[in-house]
Amino acid sequence: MSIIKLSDVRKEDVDIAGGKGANLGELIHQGFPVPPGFVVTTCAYSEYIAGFSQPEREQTPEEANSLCAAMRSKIVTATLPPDLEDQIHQHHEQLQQQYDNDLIYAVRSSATAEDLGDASFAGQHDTYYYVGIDNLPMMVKKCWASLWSDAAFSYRQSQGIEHSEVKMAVIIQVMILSDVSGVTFTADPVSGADNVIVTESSWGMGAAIVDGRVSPDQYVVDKATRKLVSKKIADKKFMVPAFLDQDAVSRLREIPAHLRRIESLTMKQLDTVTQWAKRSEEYFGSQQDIEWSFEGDSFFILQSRPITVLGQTQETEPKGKYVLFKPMAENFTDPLLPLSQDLLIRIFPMMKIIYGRAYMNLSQARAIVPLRISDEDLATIAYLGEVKDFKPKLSIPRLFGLSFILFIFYLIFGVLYQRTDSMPDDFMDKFRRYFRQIVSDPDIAAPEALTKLFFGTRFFEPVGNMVLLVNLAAPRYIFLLLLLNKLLNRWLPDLPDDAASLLSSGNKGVLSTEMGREIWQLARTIKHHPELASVILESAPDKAPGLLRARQDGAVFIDQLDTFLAKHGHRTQKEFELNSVRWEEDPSPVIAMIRNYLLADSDPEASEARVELQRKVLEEKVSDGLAGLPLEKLTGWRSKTINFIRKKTKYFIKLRENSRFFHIMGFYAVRLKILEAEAGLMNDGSLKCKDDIFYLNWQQVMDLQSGALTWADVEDVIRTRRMNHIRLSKMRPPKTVGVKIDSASDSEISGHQISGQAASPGSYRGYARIIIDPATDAEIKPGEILIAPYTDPAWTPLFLIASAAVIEVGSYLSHAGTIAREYGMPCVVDVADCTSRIKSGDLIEVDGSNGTVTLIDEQSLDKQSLDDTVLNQAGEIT
Amino acid sequence: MILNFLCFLLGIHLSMTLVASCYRIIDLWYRIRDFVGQILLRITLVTALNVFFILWLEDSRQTAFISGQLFFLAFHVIIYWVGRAMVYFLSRN
Repeated sequence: MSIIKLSDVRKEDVDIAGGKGANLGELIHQGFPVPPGFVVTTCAYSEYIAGFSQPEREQTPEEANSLCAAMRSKIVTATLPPDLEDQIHQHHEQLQQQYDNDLIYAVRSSATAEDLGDASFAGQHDTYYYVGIDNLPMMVKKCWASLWSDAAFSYRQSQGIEHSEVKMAVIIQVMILSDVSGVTFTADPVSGADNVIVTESSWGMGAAIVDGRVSPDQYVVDKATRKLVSKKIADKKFMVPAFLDQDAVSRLREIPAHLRRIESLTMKQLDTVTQWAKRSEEYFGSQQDIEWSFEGDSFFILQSRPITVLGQTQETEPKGKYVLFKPMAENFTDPLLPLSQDLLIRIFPMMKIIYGRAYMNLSQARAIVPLRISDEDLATIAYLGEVKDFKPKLSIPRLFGLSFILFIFYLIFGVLYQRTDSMPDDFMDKFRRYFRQIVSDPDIAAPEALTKLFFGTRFFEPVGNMVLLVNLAAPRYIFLLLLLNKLLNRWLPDLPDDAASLLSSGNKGVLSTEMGREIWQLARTIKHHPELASVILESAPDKAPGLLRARQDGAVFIDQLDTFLAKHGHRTQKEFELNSVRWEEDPSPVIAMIRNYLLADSDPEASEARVELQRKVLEEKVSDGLAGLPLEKLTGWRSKTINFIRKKTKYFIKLRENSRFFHIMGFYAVRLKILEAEAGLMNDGSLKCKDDIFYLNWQQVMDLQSGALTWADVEDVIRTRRMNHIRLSKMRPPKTVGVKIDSASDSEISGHQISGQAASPGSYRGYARIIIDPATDAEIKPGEILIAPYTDPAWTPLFLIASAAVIEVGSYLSHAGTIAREYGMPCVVDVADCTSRIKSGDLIEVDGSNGTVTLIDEQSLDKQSLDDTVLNQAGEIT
Repeated sequence: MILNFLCFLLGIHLSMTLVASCYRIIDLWYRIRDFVGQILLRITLVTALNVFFILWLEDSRQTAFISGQLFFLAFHVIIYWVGRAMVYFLSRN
């Protein structure tokens, strides 16, 4: 029997249909919705390879590899028996009668040793999609040949499986043109927890998830009640579409920006998946790993097999003691890809990348702390900035050590500090020319671009070209702000806590805040043309620029947009990740933000005017207060001191934000260099898929360029690292490695109150709005409170609409805090899990002075309090 | 001894300030017409301050002050080349 219908296969038929085939046949028999098809049996395989000499277990690896290659070649080049080809055609004709369109198939290997419960051959045997009838014979042969791939051979070798006893059947199944697909585990594959069902899903065909080319959405459902426990909506960049374009080079297609952060499953679909997963587990009597897809409303199970990797994902941690570097944590909410890690560590050698995130080496930090302090307390201070009931004791030897280090630091950076202490706003503008010069030089590769742009300065280099060093010189504002706060507290103790912050805000010329205003200007331009506005509101953000360009009346807006992109086009979300697509490459996030403004109908100028008024009132209060102090009217020394420190603080805050604007441009140059290298490698076939380059290190890229490595050498490396990256994306990075911190000081929840870190003072009560992605989530309304997982400059426009902010990561120095202080809005950062603890529409109170967020029960409020809150939504301040 | 050391540090600081003031010619070259007066004034004042201390200080303190100045100038040149070597090393690895 060479071919058998899939519906006629039973679970006992592993010997003729292979593990996968027997499993699918049994599922059909039990009424599971499995796509129809037929199986080219192991008998056909055995007849076909009879006479080929097969590699043995006893052979050396070299001999075996050579024999495997010969075996594969023979299998693919020999002719399929005509009788078998005829049978394939006959089964196809039978299936075709049930469908109107020409059928295309998924051709899947099904070995007899596969999915046996204690051995997983995942990814080692071939599967082919989009196969038409004419190509079926060849794909069957290729599936047979994949039994003799080097990886499959060595896996069998390591598992002690006799090669000659393993046979290969081939499943030819009608291909489901999936709109959404995914994988479901009837136990948590990471922790092994048996009381949940974990579903991962994304747009298009499931291959993108199985191959690890996309970070899927993740839903965790309680197994007993089928209630949703948690969900994480991922940034889904790529999909394998159900239909391939005729001229498509790669199966992968970028997911349009507006779909990336959208949930790929409805709750009804999730429930369908969950029910079938439970049924499958009940039937097979073991925890299952199920591949499935939706074509329209129809649900299909593509595979169900036992989970073989439960709880086997512990990462070995490096030796030493490390603390998550909070000021930069907002840049590392997702783990860095291997190539970004490899390149960026060259400019931040003091950082240690663990779990893809930046950690600070505690041993190095200890060298500059002149205190006798335990590792735990030091880690707590490094992470939280304070320790409860901590009484520091000075260490004299360490004090000498610190003095020496500071002296050396002063010698090295003193000139830089003086050069940057009073420069005009535009002094870094020419860095753009330097950037273009580096980008256009074909002889400069990515690592050289990085070091040239950041450190490759000449002796007589203008300081405007040293943007990273300028950035390192800017945090002086922290000390000035502390000093300002101290002086105000001493001279005018009745002033509010946020006086120093408010006095230091209102900077003109901060490029990231200007960016927010410019996007708002773009929205204002388009608002005057309702037809253009409807293009933005009604079409997908990635399509809108093209549609507007095609219209004559869109010229003014497009000119304005192009000007904006010429200035800010190097920016994006997650800017430290070199794989992040920049606005210049894909302006759809900007279009989405314009759309947000159109929908929000806010007036940022009014909001800024309100803060300006508050500032003016405070200035007068300070001036009047100081005038009453001894000798002040005569000398005015206190006013002069306050004004001088305030002016300097504002200057350094601006310097920090603007230098970051330019050093992010440096990262874009490096990205362009990587894309240039990627294009070359894809042209010569050394790389097969876009973005694969980011899973290599630079040495491997160079080896591919020189021919020292080939695609075959890096294919497995890329796949393994991609899988690892997805796993790291799902984990919450530990705050410390090798040392514990005082958990009582950590972000905590008590009753209805969640603690975080104060980042911008003031308090505000209003309704929460969860925004996961500023490029796709819309409709934050004026007066609402922004709840976000992290922020970077791409989020700035939302700060113009929101009245307060609560952010999952970050510190006082992070972007969210800086911008919130600039706009005079309360902000609490480092509020763990705030995007899941708080729901959109919850009434909350943000206390940016004490770093707390209180969930308010509306039922408990009297009518007056509720009316006050509603008033707040119109922009009033409590 | 302590005063000599303080003179040495003062020499370093004023030398550093003079170097930084001179760098402003390069840093602000793109708007030199706007800033030429301010730059020249700053260089003149810092130079005058340096000269004043050299003339005012006596014997060992003067020597310490000048040593501080020369030490910093040498350090500034050396650290530049050390930095270049590190950059070369970083881009190679």
